Amino acid sequence: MNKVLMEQFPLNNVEINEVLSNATLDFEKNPIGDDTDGCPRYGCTCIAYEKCCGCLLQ
Amino acid sequence: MEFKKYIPFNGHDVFLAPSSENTFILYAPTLKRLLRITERLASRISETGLTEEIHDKDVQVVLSLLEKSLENAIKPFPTHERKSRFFHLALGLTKNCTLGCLYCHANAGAKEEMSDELLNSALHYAFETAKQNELKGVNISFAVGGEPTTNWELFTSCIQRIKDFESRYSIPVHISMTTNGYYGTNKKQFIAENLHSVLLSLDGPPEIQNLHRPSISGKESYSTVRDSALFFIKNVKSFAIRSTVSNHSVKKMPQIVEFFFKELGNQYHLVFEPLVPLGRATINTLSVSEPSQHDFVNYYIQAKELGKSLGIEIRTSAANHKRLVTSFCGAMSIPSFTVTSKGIVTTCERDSEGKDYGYGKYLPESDNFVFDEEKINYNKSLLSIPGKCKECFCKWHCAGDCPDTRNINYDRCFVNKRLIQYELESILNGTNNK
Repeated sequence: MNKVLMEQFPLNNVEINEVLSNATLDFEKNPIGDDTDGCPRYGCTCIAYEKCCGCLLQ
Repeated sequence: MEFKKYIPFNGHDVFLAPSSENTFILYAPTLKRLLRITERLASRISETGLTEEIHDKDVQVVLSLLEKSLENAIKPFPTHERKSRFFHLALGLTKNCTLGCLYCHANAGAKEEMSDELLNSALHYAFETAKQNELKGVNISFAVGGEPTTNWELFTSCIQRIKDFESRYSIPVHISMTTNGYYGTNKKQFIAENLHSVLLSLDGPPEIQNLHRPSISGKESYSTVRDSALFFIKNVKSFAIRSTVSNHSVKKMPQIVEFFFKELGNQYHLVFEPLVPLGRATINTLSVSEPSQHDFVNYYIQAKELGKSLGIEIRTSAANHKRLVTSFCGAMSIPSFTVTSKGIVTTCERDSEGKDYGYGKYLPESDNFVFDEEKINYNKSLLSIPGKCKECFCKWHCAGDCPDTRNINYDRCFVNKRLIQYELESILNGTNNK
């Protein structure tokens, strides 16, 4: 989520008063969008999409 | 009134989650849209759904924002169909260790090591497969079983062989290691020169580290491991510290951050993971046990906030708000080629004996590996997201969590949900821009 755009509604629009705040999210590029390479790195929570993240390797 | 947690919209998931001061979060992950709405509006959306026929102005506003988001929506790719462009090899060189950690997942300490023949065959298989499939590289990690540096001769010989294969095949290699850091200058130097990524286990100040992670003979380990941390911070490009959090240390997480900052500066990532009841942790329950999940959440948030002010990035594995995933990790589906010291091939680096996810084995007589297709498919099936997650706002971030947690009957949903909600709230409050 590298970029977050806050888009507060104009306060003078009295009829739109139940949507209090609004954000457009921009996630890290990752394999759910397409068949990308995934992360070539391994490391606990780096997060490697293709390998064990190591959370239970205590 | 009971609110619906989940409302489908044009094939996308929209979640409603109660927040503070009579407000709700409306979260559409694949539409990349996050709103804070009033409880009254959440109630109407819950009752009527999100359809064009609704003539409610505020519902229409929500609809128009979601429709606008359809243009740039993320189309999920089924992870189990993904073919990796890398070969992932994990080597269990040894089951031995120089530390006697109270909670060791692998119950390390046995004098069992990988044979030369097996090591050569595993490397040969990895590079041949990478060559035949025109893969972009071979990723090699040492995380299964004991401490990889315990048999130093075997470890250095292994690194040398990897370099030989790399140059013979002209295929790039990335070498990474999870290590206990309990060794002297020469070893640190070799590691820094030859490994690309290092994850060092260091749980906190001396009183925590020495309780959790004494040497095999019961001596303190803090001073040696601290020196390794200082060295790796300066000399390894990709370096992180992992702190396992027990019932003993959970309330000290902010102090751990503060202590590390004073001792080590801030040029590293710090990973906090709650101790889970497996391996030696199921035996030493009187000395150390899993932390309360409620405490972990509260003190993790405090630690993370402190980390932000000190310039230390703090993470935990399951609750990553920066990514959307359809499965927790690819190890089960690709599958990862993790070779234990006995020559069992398994998907999971926690599975140091290959008993849970083993899908192949090394045959010394033919110097080759054989695989069980049924077991490969069974491992893939473990990636299915549990039914209970269907309506959970967290599911695109944890994908039902690590399949191994289900195997050991450990549930950290509370932690995942609370931490993801904390991150989403921070975004809406404008206090998080990462």
